[in-house]
Amino acid sequence: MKKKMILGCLGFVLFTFCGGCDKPDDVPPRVLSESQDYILPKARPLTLEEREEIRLLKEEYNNAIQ
Amino acid sequence: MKNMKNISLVLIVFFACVSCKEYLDVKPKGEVIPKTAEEFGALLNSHLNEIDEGYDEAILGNPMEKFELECFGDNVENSLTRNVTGMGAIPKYVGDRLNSFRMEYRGLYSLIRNCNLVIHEMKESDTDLAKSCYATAYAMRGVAYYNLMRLFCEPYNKEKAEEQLGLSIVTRFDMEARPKRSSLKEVATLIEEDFKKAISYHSKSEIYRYTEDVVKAYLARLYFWTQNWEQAIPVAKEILDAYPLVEGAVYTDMLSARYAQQGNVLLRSYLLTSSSGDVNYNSAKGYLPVKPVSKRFIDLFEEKERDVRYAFSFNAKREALKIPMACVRSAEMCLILAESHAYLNQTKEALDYLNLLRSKRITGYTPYTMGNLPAVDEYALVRINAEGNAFTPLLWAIHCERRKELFMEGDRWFELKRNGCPEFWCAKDGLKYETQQFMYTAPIPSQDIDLIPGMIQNEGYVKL
Repeated sequence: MKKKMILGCLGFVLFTFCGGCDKPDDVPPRVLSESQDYILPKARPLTLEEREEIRLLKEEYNNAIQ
Repeated sequence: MKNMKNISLVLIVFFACVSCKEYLDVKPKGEVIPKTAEEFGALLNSHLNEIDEGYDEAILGNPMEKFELECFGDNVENSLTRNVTGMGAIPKYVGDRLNSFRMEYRGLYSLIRNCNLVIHEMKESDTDLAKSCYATAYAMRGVAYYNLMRLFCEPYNKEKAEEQLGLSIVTRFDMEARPKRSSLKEVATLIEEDFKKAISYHSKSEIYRYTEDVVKAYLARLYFWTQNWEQAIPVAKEILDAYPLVEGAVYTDMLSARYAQQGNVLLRSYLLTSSSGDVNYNSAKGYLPVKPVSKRFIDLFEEKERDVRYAFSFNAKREALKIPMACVRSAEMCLILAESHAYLNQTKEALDYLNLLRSKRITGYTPYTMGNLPAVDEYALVRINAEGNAFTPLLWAIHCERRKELFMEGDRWFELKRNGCPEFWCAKDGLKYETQQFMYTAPIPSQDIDLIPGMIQNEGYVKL
């Protein structure tokens, strides 16, 4: 009888140990995202007109600082 | 049987000792550790130190942060950027920084949390120190929301402000709270209330930096951003009267001073020497020649050398000379007055303030009248004014004067935002980088979007 009681107590302690304290850290849930970044417009190659615009810009600049 | 008992006892003791060792490991709820005004003041001091030592990124900013803001706009020619070692540190355009504005978001909400602790948890209220703490906490919380509003919300539209998305308003320390975004109008109202509350303490404490006059200058800035022209005028006038414009060498010394607040500067960063502050200052100074000043900006100086800002701002090689500075000064109040009067069709007053500024900057200047104002530049990047209409010559002259006066002070990017968010592009290594309209408003950090149910992201942003 005593043996059963001791085993019962032991079982209860084990149950309490396993079942208790399932949330030891009572803090807001941590949210994990794969990425924190947002997509931005991709840079695209300059067209011929745009290249010409940049060329003129550089030319004007180089002439101005001489 | 005795062994069994002993084993059981040992096991019970063992489990009792090792289990649940963290069952009390919860954050203290409803309990704030600081008790005295001095201890609460320490919560604010860490932020004030960041400003004083020139490494604050989000509250007032620092020279490097102001230089970055300048790189987002059109005062420098990003397409002509020279390649130098360590170029990764400076952005080509705003797209390089949009995702990392979450650092500013986090920093400003940390400041708001500390201000909330002071405002609601500090019991001391009668001492001078406690009053200074309250005044500073209200002022800094208002400034934090003001900065967040300009970065993370669309430009203020007074006709639609009640429908425009604002910010998560947090006015009490509560870890469980998950506030969704309020309207932009509600955010502006909160900022106004905070500034007025701060002003009511009449703080003169220079140690706490956000004195009554500084907060009034911020209140004028708020009214100006929210197109409340009538209310911007008396507040800006009060500050301009108290801090008259300076000219000549006093003006250039004021803007060149490294560790001193001079002239009519009400608030500036980097008053004390520190390694982080020195790095920001030296980096900003070192990067200036890398980005040539744009021709369109230089062409605004019609009076050339007669304008003290001409030689002070850049040299013949179009290298910027004016070292970026994070400050609040009264010339901005003069420009607020001119523009506010102009929007209210009070042309005489608008011209008076515009001419007042020009008289302090241009030797032998010719006062503007409604008859001799320069024509609006029809090829300029900015075409739409703050109210969504075409520029009048008067508003255009004020806009150009502001651009010249506040060069390298982090103003131009927000001026572009306030005036129609124009789209433009720059080139680098054969590629075209576009500043599109939605990019004037930074994305709300994804942590908040994920954590707060119903939190709405700004238009144009899709997660990677």
